[in-house]
Amino acid sequence: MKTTNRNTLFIGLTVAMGLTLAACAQPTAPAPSAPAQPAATEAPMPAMPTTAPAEAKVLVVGLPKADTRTLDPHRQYEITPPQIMRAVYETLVTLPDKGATIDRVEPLLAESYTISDDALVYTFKLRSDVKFASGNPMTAEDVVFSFKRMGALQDNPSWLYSDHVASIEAPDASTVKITLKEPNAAFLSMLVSPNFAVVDSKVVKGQGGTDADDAKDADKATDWLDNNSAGTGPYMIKEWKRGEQVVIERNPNYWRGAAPFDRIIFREIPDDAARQQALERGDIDIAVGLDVDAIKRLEGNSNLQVITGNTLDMTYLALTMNAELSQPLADKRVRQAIKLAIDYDGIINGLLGGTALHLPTIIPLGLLGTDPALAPKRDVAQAKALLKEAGYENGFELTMVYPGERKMSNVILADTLVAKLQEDLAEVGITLKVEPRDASTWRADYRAGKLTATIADWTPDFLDPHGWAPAFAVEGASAAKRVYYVNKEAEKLALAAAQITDSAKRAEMYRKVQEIMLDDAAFIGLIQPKVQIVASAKLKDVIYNPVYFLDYYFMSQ
Amino acid sequence: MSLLAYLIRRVFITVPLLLLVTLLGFVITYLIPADPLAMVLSERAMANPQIVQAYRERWGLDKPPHERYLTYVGNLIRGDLGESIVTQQSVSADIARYFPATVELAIAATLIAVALGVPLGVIAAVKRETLADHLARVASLIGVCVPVFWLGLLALSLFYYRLQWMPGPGRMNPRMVPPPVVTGLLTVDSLLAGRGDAFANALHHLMLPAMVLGAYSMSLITRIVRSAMIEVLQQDYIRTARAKGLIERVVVMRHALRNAALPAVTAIGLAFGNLMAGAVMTETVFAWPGIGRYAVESAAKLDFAPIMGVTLLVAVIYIGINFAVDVSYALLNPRVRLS
Repeated sequence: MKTTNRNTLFIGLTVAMGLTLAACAQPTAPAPSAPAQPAATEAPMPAMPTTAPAEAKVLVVGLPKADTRTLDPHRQYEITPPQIMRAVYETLVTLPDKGATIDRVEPLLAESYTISDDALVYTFKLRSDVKFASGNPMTAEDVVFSFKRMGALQDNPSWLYSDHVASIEAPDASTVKITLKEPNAAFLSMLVSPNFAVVDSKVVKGQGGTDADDAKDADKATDWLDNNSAGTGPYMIKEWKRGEQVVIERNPNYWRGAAPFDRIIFREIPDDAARQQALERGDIDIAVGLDVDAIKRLEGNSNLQVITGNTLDMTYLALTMNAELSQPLADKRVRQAIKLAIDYDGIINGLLGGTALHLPTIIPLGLLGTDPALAPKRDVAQAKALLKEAGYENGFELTMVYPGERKMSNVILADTLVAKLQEDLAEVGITLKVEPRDASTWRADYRAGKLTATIADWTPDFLDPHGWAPAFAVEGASAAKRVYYVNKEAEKLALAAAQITDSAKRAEMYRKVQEIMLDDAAFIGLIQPKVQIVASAKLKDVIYNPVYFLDYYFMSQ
Repeated sequence: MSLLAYLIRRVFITVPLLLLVTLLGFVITYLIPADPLAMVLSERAMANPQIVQAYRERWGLDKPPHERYLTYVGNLIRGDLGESIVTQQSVSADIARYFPATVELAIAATLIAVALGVPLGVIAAVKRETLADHLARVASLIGVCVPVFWLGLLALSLFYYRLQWMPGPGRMNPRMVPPPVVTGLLTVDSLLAGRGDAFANALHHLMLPAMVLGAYSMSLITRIVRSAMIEVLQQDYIRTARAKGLIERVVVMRHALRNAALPAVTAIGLAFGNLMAGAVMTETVFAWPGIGRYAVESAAKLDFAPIMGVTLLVAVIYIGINFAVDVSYALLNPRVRLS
């Protein structure tokens, strides 16, 4: 009896497994690879090259877990896409010196530009020799279509257009005139963003794209743009296998001359150790996102090179100014004491092996009006004196809620950083009670202004202090409201600095904003990480920049 | 009761069961005090009411929860698993994209587990209390205890990095052009396309992760086969077989193993389901674009539709296995009644 039952179970399981497998083997939806590619399915299979021809130049980039949601340049706003976007799409202006200079811009698809004295009207004269990968010439029509589409989609980057632009027009085929809603000297730097990619309007319209006001519902081009491209860049998107890789191929019509690689493959290898091994074995040519220790070990390897650059990312400590949340923190002297109690050197040199900068408050170093000398130094005696003055001679208990397993600015585990802060604050008598949380609930509470003290990240939206100052200094603004930051003087300066075009004056105003915010000590800058990329020593001109990450146009072998 | 009537009845029981699964999933996702939009929209976009409103409308988040749930169930009944907020693709397309990679890995892992686990168990039982037995038992103990991500990293750095016997992470050499997608199983697709080179490459890439993923099942099978064999080898019919002069190989393989294999087979079937769920770590270490990573990433982003899609998929697999087991019991054993 028992034996028979086991027998039937065996057969039953075999049948079930067979059925399951049969079901799995039939994808329920069409596979996403290369839709609408004419002749892709008709191409005789045996004729397909099985491996790259011996002379084909292929570059393989190993990425950590990719966060790509879309490859539509007017919708993407994640960390991974910009380097891919940059290789296939271009913008009116770009960063000088192959991307190494970040405090000014130079023309790319534009031949020249003028800005009205009131920083309200931007006029671009376009180059006449630019062709899209399709062969179509680039005209002012394409620029107008692209920018309007980006704004009308009401997607992640749309605010770049809709918050700023009042009107955009093409007076003739090679001129684009943009009028802003209000004066904004930072607008030019926003145009460097890959979201302001100029797309081939004929091709994108042909795929269901639109720049009309109802584009958020009417535009149908994203599915196509996820697997193809319509840009002026040196490469074209060949395929995107989600969770696996993106393949781009050389654009034969590239206006600055053909690019050096036949194909570039962006392969996702989520595990750091596996990615490092793949690099050392030569299976990939560039490894992104390796940790500090791994890079130290690779530094002696003569087959590899380590590229270092400064990001504009930052991790900061946020202290509430709301007395209902914390009586002690509402006192400026207590916040200042915390600022002076932190061992910044220990964080940067001890925990991060020197791979970060110490940003003073909330504007990353390298931008207009920043100065490393503004950064606070540790002073335990002074911190204790301030606490005594505020009546907390015997210390107090402070609760810190933070995203436990998150890698802050992609370089340091939140748990590690908080443990260090806990240790530093203990020295001045402050007991830090730590509460690690899941990132999603932590973020919701922080955004809602419910947290007393926390650590958080901020990533750049564009390369001007205007991307930081108002968000942190203006009452009720997205970052300021989380700690109930109010300082009318800082607010006035942060807003006024964007309305004038004189760089020297602007720099001075942003410096003043930082000084005020340092004194208020509601936002305390902790780290601005450097990025380290390890690449095969054979590659030339691997240059990091904080907007596109890597610009594959310059890279060669 | 006829088989057909039983089948209809079971389907009627299964449907409310699956609905209950969706309700539970919905309530849990809804109770987490976080906004799914915050996981996909940037700080700037979240500060722009127009964009937030457009997103809420686009993903139906502006509706009250009960209405969202009913819409979801309504779509589900029509066979629509909804769309992922993160990937912006339909969940059925996402599953079709990621599931085959996991299935391929799980099948290979099961094959390896069976091919190694059964002989190891047999040898351990036959050579009971010898060195071979002790080695097999230690090996299986390690296999059961060692965490799979650690084993994966170890295997990768030994066989790929040091010895260079195995290829690196991924399903295929990045420089190789993959065969056109038919089943999604790269080895099968390569054969269908007549691509020997691609088949060899895909199979080579499959071996190491499959061994790592299969290590647990293999150890389990070894242990179960060993204990079952020891029990069977003491039975009267084994003594009879030996007494009538059969050679030991026939006694062990034909008389003992056949009977002892039954509990192992039960474990193999269930282990296959477990592999699907346990593939997450292996998929991460070996850069394997499978359903495990998709499930974890969806959960981290509070992406309701894919969380439910994967949950339902796993539920259906388990329900399907149970169902088929029950039916085959009745088909093969007249004493069992379907009721």
